[in-house]
Amino acid sequence: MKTIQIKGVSKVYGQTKALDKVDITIESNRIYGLLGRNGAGKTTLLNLVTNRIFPTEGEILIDGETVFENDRVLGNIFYMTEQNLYPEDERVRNIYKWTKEFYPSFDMEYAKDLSERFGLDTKKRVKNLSTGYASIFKAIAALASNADIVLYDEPVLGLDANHRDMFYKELISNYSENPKTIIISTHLIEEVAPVIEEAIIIKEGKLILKRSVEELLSEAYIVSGEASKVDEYIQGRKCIGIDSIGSFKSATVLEAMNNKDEALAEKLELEFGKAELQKLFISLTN
Amino acid sequence: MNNIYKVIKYQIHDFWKAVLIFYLIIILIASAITVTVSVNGENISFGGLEMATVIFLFVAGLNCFKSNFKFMLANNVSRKGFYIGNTIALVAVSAFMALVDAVLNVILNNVLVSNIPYESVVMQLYGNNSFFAGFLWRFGLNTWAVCFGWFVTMLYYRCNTIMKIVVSFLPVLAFIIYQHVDRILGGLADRAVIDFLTRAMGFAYNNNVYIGALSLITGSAVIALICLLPLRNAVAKG
Repeated sequence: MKTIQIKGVSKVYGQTKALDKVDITIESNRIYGLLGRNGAGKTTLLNLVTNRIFPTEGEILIDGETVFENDRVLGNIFYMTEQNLYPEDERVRNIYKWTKEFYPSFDMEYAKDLSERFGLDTKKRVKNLSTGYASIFKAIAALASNADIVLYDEPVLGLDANHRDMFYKELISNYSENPKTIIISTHLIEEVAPVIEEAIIIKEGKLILKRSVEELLSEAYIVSGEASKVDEYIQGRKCIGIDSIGSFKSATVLEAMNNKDEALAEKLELEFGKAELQKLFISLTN
Repeated sequence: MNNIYKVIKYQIHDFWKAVLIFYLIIILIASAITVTVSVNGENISFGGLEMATVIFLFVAGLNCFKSNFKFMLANNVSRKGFYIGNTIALVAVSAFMALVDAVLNVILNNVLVSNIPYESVVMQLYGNNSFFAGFLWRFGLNTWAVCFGWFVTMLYYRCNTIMKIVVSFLPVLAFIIYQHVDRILGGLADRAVIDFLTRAMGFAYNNNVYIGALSLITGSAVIALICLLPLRNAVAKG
């Protein structure tokens, strides 16, 4: 059990309130998506959970123990940051060796295997890695760390579509074999949607929502068909997104899935579909 | 405790190559002097090679923080763990180099350059060639130099651009003010400083090398403690 409790946490930088009295309980062995617009406070929150920075007020506990300067608790967390904290002149393979020193459960063979599969040359120095490969290297270290809690901040930054797909598949496979608490902070909401079980949405430093993705998606649906008929259907309903191509229209309606008017849709020859997390996210954070 | 050991291991790993190269250069220099003097048959003496160790350790202190601290953060080591581990590693490297210098002193005095008088700094200052006393004094000086280097780098790390400029000019300003005050006081400040240093370094007590060593070790401990203040809230910087 590795439960993270964030209790009334605020973080102030000068005049800016990066986080404002955030209360979240993150249960163990689930995959969370930490979502928010630029500057919403996602990275600040992850930095606070890992004692990289200190809260202005509030506290963060893991299984009831504070994370503040607590090596025992911090040793159970691996945090893949967007910022490079590794020595620029060190070779990737040496960093794997040192990571094993600090994370005794680090799976060296798995790290080597992943490096091969992703085409990462472990003899390269960190400074010589491209943006994409720097992300791959950090993601591999995180995947192989075998820590109880793994935090990813923009894990697919600079990765091409193939590598992004490989990463998400590996993340799920890794999680299935060794369940752990995973938090992924990203802007690529549609990509991460199939991976995450629960979404945490932060807006301007405040927690606005923490709910399972399934539950969240059941609160909206897509209705599509001929534009004029879609317009007729959505009249009086709250719409959070409309896409049109020629005479075809697709609208995301903010209404519980089980409240949709199937009879009207049938009459208008419209089709229903699952809402996209991104559309909901935009609606919630605007 | 476990993390402290790992920090020590990493910091020492970071040092050892540089230490090895440093001593290879020192041995090369000592050999070159020996050969040159032997060939030319000149009647000269040389000494004070351990001052190079002090400069090396000061530079090592300057470089012991930024990159390593970030790496420790990447591995979720607490600042407390990093501080203790780094302090132990710096003391260990200082002790090792003091020991090597003490052994080199014996070698240079008795084996390599028996025809060239070699005088260590300890011998020049205190007239004491005891192995243990020399080791202890060098250890004190080495620790002081490495801790001072660490302190300087910590200070710059925590300062913003304006404060960095202020900190850089502060010693110059302090020196100018000191000289002005000393002139007003008719040399009293100079005499007080010299008196303090003479006592602290043990020259006032029959050139007691142990008092000098103790003062240097105490000074190092004070600097190391001061380093803890800016480290407590330090965050990773680019």
